[in-house]
Amino acid sequence: MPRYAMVIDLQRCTGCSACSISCRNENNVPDGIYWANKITETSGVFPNVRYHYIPTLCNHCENAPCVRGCPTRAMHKLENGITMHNPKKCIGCKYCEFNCPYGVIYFNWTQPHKPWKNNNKVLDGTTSPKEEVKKVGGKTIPYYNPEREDTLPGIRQKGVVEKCTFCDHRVRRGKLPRCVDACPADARIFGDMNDPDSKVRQLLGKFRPFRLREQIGTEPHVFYIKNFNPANYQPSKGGI
Amino acid sequence: MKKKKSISLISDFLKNKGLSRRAFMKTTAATGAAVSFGGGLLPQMKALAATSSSPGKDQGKWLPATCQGCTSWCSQQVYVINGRAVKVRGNPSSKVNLGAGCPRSHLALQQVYDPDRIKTPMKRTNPKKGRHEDPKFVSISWDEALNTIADKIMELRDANETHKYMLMRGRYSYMRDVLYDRMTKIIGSPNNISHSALCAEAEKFGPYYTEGYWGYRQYDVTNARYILLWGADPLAANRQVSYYSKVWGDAINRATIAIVEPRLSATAAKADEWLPAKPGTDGALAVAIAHVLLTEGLWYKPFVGDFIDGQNLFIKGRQVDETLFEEKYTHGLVKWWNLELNDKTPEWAAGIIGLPVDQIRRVAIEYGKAAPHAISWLGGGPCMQVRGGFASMAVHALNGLVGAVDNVGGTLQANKEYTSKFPKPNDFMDDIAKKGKKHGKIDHRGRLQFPCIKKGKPGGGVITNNAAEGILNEDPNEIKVAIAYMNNFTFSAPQPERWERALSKIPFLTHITTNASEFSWFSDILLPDTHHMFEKWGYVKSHGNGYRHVTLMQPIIKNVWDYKTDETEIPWLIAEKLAEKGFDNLLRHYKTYIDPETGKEPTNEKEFALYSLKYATQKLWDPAQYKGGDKFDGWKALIQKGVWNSAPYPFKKRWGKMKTKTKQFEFYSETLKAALKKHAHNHETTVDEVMKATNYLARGEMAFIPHYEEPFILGDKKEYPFVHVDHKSRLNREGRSANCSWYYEFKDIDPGDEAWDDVAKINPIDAKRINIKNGDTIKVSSPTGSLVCTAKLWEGVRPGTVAKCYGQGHWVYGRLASKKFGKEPRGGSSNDIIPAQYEALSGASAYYGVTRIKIEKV
Amino acid sequence: MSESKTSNGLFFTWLGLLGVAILIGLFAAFKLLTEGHHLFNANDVLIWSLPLGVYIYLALISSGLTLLASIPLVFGQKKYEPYAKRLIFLAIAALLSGFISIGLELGNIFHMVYIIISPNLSSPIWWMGAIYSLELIVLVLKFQRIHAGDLNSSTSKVLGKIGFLCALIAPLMIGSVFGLTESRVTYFGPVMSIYCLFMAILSGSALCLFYNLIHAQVTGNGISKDKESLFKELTRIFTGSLGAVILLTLIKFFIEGSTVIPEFLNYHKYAQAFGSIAGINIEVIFGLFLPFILISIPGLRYNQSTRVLTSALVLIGTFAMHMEILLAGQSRPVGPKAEQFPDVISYFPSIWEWIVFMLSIAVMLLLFTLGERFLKLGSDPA
Repeated sequence: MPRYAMVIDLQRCTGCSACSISCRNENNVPDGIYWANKITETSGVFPNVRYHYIPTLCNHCENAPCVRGCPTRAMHKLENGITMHNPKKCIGCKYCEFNCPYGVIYFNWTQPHKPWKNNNKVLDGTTSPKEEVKKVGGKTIPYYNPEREDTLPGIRQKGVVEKCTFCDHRVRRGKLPRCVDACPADARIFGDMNDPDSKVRQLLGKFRPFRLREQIGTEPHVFYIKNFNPANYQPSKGGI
Repeated sequence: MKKKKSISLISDFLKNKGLSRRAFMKTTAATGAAVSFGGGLLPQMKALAATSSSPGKDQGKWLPATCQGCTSWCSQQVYVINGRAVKVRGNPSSKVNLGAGCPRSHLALQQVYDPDRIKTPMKRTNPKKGRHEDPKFVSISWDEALNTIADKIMELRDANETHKYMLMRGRYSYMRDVLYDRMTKIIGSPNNISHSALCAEAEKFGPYYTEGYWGYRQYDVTNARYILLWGADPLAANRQVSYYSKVWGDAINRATIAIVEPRLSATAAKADEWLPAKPGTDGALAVAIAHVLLTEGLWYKPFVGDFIDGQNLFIKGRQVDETLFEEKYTHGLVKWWNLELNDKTPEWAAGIIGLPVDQIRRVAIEYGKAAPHAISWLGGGPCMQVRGGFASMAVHALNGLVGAVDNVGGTLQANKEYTSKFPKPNDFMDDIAKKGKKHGKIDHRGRLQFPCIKKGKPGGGVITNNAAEGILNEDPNEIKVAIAYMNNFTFSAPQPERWERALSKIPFLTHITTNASEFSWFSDILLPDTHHMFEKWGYVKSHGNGYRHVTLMQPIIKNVWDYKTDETEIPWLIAEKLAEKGFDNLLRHYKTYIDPETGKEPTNEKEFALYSLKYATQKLWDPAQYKGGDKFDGWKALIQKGVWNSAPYPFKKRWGKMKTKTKQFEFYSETLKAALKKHAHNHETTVDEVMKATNYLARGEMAFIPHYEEPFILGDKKEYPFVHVDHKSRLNREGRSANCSWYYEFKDIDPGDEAWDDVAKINPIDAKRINIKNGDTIKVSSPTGSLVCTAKLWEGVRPGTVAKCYGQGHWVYGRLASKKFGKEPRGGSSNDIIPAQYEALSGASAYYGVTRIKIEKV
Repeated sequence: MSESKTSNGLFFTWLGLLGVAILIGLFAAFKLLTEGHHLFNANDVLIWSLPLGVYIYLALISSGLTLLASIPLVFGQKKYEPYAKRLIFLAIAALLSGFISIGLELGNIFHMVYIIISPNLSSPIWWMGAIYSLELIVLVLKFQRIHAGDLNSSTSKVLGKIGFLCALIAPLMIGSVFGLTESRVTYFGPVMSIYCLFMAILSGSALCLFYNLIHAQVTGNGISKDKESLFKELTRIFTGSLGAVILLTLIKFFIEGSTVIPEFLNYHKYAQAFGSIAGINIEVIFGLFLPFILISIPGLRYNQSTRVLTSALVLIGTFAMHMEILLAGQSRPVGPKAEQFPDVISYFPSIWEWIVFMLSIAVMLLLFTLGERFLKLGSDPA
């Protein structure tokens, strides 16, 4: 059985968020919910200042606090290492969200994609969001991706949580997760940790990877290598 | 609620990044071990995915497309399920964008299925025009709309005043000439006005008057050793964002990246050197770098040549005898030194540009040492300024000094491609048309103060934003009937309030558009346009990665509403109507666009759209007419792939054969000299007078060399303490993505910006001085206008400047784009504070370093 | 109140008021089911809000009451027996009301069946739910036994023992729901469980004192002499648990004040939602210190008014403390959520949350009222 993991090369990453946007698209995720996200920081004081960007997603922790805490096993581990959620079992207690050390789980506070259910139009010759969807033939949203339904409701109902699934529906079709596919910079490398020849294992051997909040022992399966800003500088010993 | 993120966030989150060596080894061991113990109390679930029945069949197909979200013009693919667009990705067949797709490409999905797109033609029922006049649009049939338009054109023809017809162009494909050129000419008007001068003409000025190339450059970044960017942000905006995103990680490995930009841009975030120069001083930095390159002997001798006796006589403050230097592929180096460079030391520049001397010197020397693989990357920033023409030249001239022009790891022009032009209109232009076309143009190009010397030809370029003045002043004549497509000058042009007045003055205005925009608001007829990426036939050409591609637009999804294509179907339909009304020249002309495969002439608008594309691209797909690049065995093969790639770039082939007067790379531009003299001659005056009229300070020989001129910035320093810095968003689709929710959801990927907000970025030092806090609602005013947005205190902006992103501030366009449709804008449009000023030599509108602003709390 | 002199008119007005409150509450429940929890002023950072605080508060009170009831029922202290029935009943009422509050906090109560058919034994939430459910059943059965006059049968005794164990473990589980969250160190890990247990005893004994004293006032029965000795002991338990909670709170203060763990540094900035005096939280001063001082003054200790006042202060104070602990630990966005949310989330309950709060309290009061009226809570068994 493979054990999936992702390596993110921060030097290749340009901080463009194509990962996050394509993820929204692939998984029919409503606005306000970010399966793929980022941590940014502007550090320093003018003119010695830089902007930093770390793309984030569910870490698919080996020891996942969300899985441990879920009272109904709605949040569970698949054999391939993916931390998966089953909204049918979710009672909406949000404990996984409370428990997640990485802030990657979101709750559906309301009907998903509410603006698309609106019935008003702005001009005589335009249409309403609801009619647009109907005419185009999507489900709730016009660019609805039905292939998400393979392993999850295409759109999750209100009252349950949701998060990144490493695109398990794609992986089982032999496709890379969408964020990996869509990354214009090739900054995301996906593969099997159990396969010593996988690109992921090669990179983890070549670089000293780090993971988010390693100290709490969750064993994330998302690894980061290199630096977002690899700037060089004039050698110096500093001074007194 | 405003976000005030604590500085410690990342470090906090990564605090164990510096694990001790021992801890690290333990972790590595544990990573392996962890794989095997997933158990304990942890619930293990049989893999739903792995065990359940075989995965479903793919429900859709990836079909080729083209993205025109910016002018990168990437080849794309769209995942289509039952005629419905579901996803977007880069087309792996393109050698230009290599299968990469930037973030903004995905927003096309929200554009094409925007409920606020106009679905049917509409007409205005409120005859009064104005910003605060609701046009009261009502739906009408295509037939009624087209008849009305044809009637109005016939009125002009009948009255023998076809020059009062005007065509305004915005985002186009290369099908443009059908509507833009042929139709305008055959009707009989000189007034086809493109948007180009809002885009980048000044950026093409420098390269043309040094190396004879009028166009965007491509940069061989993966082979470069030094990349010096000037007001360019290739990781975020224009051009080849997808391609540069793909290879930037590699480029960083090999090259030192330095970026001149008053704002910490996306590209600056990953740069080695950030040079936050004062706006408008790029030229000073460029000539100072040139000075160092010469005094340090770092110019690239195999390209530039050398002193005959090998001794470097470029010594600060000293004139050099021209005969002592033997140039190879360049012209006028010593003249440039004697006229401009000899005293332009880093010490001189430092005070002007506000950067430390040692940084200037360091950048110059490292740049020179990297020659010839040292790119001086000219973006819009230094050039789209009132006095940007010579800065454009100065920045580009550095490429000449280090031999990076046409060289490996340097700056390249576009590769050859083999598309064909449409049939000539001349035979279909009757006397009325010929006479009408002879009238002067409404934008005043070629007048003394507007040389617009595109490709050396005075009046050869457009001065888009000045057309508003022409219309308002009926100079040279009034405009009675106008058609405009995919443009929004009332939003995208500086000082748009002029356009509001100008458009209100046009008695009959038709707007072909996807969304009812600020421009539509003043129109009489609205025609619903197809979306370029999914719904129309067309092609564009673009270059990058040492290749050029021709990428096709195709109707690949179900057209669920009654959209028609701007550049082909609509002109055909108008031509049909004109023919019905007794003027069939245009239709007869269009019928000459025969299908190269079958030899048939088009009989309806759909056939016309298809045949004209087949016609234009025949040499790409017809094996009998093969010229080069990718080879196809027919039309079908081309449309399946969706993109044709050129042959790889032929490096150094233009050395000694450049399209300048001297065939060399000109540091002393004989080409510009000839063009300016011609323009002066046209107006029976001197080049000095031309310089004066165009707001330039250069006199005499200075007008022909790259040099620094003090920036021309509007506004009194006391009243308006800050210099405005305009920039573009990673998610802008040329101002057309503002009705997409993803635009707002991800707006914060522009460094310093905020999601669901429109912010002016102010350095905390400045903010403290004027007592502005993070999140305050502020009014930003310039001498010509104002906008309201939110204050963002940010270290990534130079004190004394305020950076604000272009893209928001729509007051129509859609329910999300505006706060109250037709009434209240969401955020503020930067153009409201940018005055209508020009880099007059190219005609480009000035967007950067052009105005001072003040900030008040609202 | 059944044997009271209160007029029926007043009684039905009271019932009417509660009925209206409950009807409004049911409407809110309907809205929450159909529209979702965006009606709450909670979000993806501040995930749990007032209704969960109400649940914790009531559940812990219920545990406290059960523990007090165990003194006679499990440990055989006969003199407490007259109060056992009422305590058990109050515990049931409090727990049921708490369940209403948490039920309306859940996104999908229809999926609750999976708690039984797909249990996760590593989940503190599961254990909390399981134990409280068991406790509720046991309490109801036990109450039925007592109501039937059976205090001493082996069934009754076993029920009492199970109830006691549940009441002992359940607060620990509530504590561990927070304490086991390794990413939120401000919940003080395992200490949180101990804290919750003492809070249960404190708030349970406060309610016991308060309720009985008020009951005595309202019914006009007054406090008889032998009852007074009982109240003295109750007061001692109350004071003792108050002291214990004060001790834990002080330790918490000292840790918060001296640690350099970043979460705490931030935490300290906004852990005083209700205000502070001299750096000490208002609710701690008025909900812990003041009652402790009052009740420690020998002259005041046995004064009924003091007892009423102090227990009331403690009841309000402990609720405030639960809310504050709950909110403060969630006020700061975790990881990437800082990109979308402010650095610190400010919170005030929405009208819907207040209604849920009101519904829970109304149900509890209604149960108290009906219980007093029809179930002879005050009558000594056997």
